[in-house]
Amino acid sequence: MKKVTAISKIKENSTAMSVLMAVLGLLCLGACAMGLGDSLYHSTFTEKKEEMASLLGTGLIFAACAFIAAYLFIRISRTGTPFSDTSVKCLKNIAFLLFIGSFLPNILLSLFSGKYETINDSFIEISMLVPSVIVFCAAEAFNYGVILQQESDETV
Amino acid sequence: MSIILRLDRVMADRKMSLNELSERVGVSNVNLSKLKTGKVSAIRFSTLDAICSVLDCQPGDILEYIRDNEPQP
Repeated sequence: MKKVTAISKIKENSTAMSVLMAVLGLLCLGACAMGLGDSLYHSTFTEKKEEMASLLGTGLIFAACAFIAAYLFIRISRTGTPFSDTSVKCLKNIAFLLFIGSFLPNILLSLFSGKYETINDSFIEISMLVPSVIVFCAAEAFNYGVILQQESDETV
Repeated sequence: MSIILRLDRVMADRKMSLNELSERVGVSNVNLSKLKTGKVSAIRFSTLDAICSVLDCQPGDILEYIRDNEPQP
């Protein structure tokens, strides 16, 4: 595949992905707001504190990750290359948010109930920790891509 | 860096402007300007081949090696 074709494909796909991520982020925020609003309206917050902690904890984290991903894809669609320092920073931010999200629901639940409680008998959610590690490793791989991109840009 | 580019000298000898060279070689003005000022770290053989063909010169006319402890002319 020629470089020009590849770059135009990257730009097209990144534009579509940025829109998708932005919509996903808004949906996550909407779900959090609706869940919280519903429980406050029906005064069921105390009975549903586990669901609220899980909804707010993971929902807000996913929304933040989706917005960062949308920003990342917008940058890629403008420059035509995914290998930049901004991309590495965005991926590391997403990895950090996912890491926070692995124990945030349990912290929220403990705050809501006023004592130490966990949702699934473990303080750390592996389902959030593993993606965090994977995204962090991908960020390190992108670091190498940044070096190669610089070398390519400096070659006439 | 120890490799010096003498592209500006050869262009002056051939009385060729940057725009004309850029058009004939098929490299953008920006990249050719970076080449002229030595702000590139590598050059492809295909680019060197095109430049030598257009300017009717040898690679040694464009590229000069100077040892680090020697003063530059």
